[in-house]
Amino acid sequence: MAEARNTLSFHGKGSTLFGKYLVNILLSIITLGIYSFWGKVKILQYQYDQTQLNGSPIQFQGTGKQFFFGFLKFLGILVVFYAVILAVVAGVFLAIQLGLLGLIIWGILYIAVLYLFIGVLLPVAINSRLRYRLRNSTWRGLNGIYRGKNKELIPMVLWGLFLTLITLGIYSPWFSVKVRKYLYSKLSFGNLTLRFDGTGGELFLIGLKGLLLSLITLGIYGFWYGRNLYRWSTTKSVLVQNGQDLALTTPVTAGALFKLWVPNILLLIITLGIAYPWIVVRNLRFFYANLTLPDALDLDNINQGESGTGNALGESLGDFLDLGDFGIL
Amino acid sequence: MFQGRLFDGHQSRALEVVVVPVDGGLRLEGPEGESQEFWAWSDLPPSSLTVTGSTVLVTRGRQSLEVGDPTFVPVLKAGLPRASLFRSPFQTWIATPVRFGVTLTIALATLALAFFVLVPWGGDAIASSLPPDLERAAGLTLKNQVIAGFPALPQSSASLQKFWEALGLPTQKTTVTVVDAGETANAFALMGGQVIVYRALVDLAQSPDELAGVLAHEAAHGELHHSARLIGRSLAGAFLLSYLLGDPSGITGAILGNVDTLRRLQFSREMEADADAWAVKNLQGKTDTKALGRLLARMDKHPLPAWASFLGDHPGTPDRVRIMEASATEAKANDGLQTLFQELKGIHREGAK
Repeated sequence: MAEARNTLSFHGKGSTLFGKYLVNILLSIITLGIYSFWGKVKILQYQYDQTQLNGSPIQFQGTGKQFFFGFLKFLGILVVFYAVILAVVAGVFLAIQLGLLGLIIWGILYIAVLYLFIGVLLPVAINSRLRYRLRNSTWRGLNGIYRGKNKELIPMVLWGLFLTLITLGIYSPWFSVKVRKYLYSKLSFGNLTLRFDGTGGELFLIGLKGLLLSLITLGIYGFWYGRNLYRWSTTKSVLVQNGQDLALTTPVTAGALFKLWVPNILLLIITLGIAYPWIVVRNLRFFYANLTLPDALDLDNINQGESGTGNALGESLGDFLDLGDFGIL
Repeated sequence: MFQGRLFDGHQSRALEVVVVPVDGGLRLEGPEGESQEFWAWSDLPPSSLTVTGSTVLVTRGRQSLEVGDPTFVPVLKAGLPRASLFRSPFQTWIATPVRFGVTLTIALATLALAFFVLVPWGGDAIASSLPPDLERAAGLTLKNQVIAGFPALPQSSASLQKFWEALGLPTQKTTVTVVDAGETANAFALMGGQVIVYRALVDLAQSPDELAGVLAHEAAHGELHHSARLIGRSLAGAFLLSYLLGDPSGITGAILGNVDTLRRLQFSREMEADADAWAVKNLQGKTDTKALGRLLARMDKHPLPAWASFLGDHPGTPDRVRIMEASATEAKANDGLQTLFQELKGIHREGAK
């Protein structure tokens, strides 16, 4: 078998990452949480630094100070959020005195407030985090750019959430694919862009099959379901360089997912969570080992285009909404 | 000399260079040996070095230099001894056992201070900021939900309400409701002065003094805003965990969440002791304040062993009885209360038929 021309690998160690988590927790406690912003940056930097694309490390150049100021901005949003939620919750007592009609009005109001908050905050968090992460992720001195706009993503998310709600969740695969297509279309790295070719129908069928067979097999099919989802997600992602489509592929198998997930769960349970850094390392190694870059991709011919901007508001907001890390980005 | 790859930050294609360590920095030479650049140690910030696998990366502004030779690391260490790369993953200042121990101790002390001082203070502040009308409305809502699951006993409730008012204790408006929960003997307080008493507890009481003790204890919870304070402290605890760790739903959060549960149980025990003390103090001269202890002893069929008392939400019954007896005073018989007590018992006897 010929050696792959383009390689992606992770070289981090669980013990080193554990040290960073430990320091982060201890110093965060001592400083009443203030150090956590710098600690988070150190952990991110380590995860990025230890990732190599064609032998060159990816780097994260964000700073704790940026995370801290992002958090201060987020606090303003948090105060408004809790004030509104508190007002709505307090309203239930008034609603009860008004009887059934009052309760119905209150229920509608409660759902509307939550819907609006999530529908607005979620796209803002996604845009802000992606803009900031791309701006501060460098490889060979080049950085990516994200051009997503709140005025485009907010209506898309509000409409998608509404349709998901009235279809009792059935629309969610189409919604998820639509958002992913949008996000991918706004990402670029020099003359390299990304496109997502999956459809909501495909995701719906994978989900339906996965759910039914997992139920029948008492969860055992979950590994094959995970594999199908992973394969679909990867192979439908297309890199575009100088107008040429370059499809990603993956060798992932259900057995490989079994070897990843089962020890991860056992490690977490047996160590009461202390093994979490090792699990992060296992996940990252797995992710890169199961992502095959196309040979036709010419990583030596990427030119820095314009540079993006962005602040770290999306870091705190994204954590609040449990947004995850979009893989390494 | 080392073979290196230089990236200019404008394109991803590498320029092959020879890296020569010299006094004060690194000299980067092109393939033909011509001198191209000099990177002074003083121009390189502490965060400019990275080692990934066998690749050593040095960054200077947008430029980056990669050397695929681990023996390049000692050269860098000699030139940039203060670079963050050469610090322990546990950070230099907590790398030794003594320093680590000191850091751990300070962290635990801070955590204890936060949990045992900041959380109670913050929780009580939240509770005291609740408008009384809101607390009363919340109590009424909760009561309606609670009694919806039991057969209503309006006659008993009215009779017990009269009994309560005859005690004349200095509390906010307290509403007593009796419900039929079968054989279970219990009583509890909700926010806003709502007290729920199970019928079996009334039946278990052998004297008006015992019943008075129960009502005074439960009313004390309302008077001392225990429910609101408990909610306030839970909110403050959750916020603290979230703020300190930034990961309230993670494993660390879950472990500390259990610690928080133990702390809340401790607060619950303190609240019960406070309610006992309030009841004994306010019933002095009105009823026999040892009576509540006698009733508790009859109710406590399955006491927790002493070693497991930290898991209870009430103090151990023997402790409660001992404290009540120590501070109790005898009181002359109250005929009015006796009459109301017998009236209530009569209603229950009629109901049983």
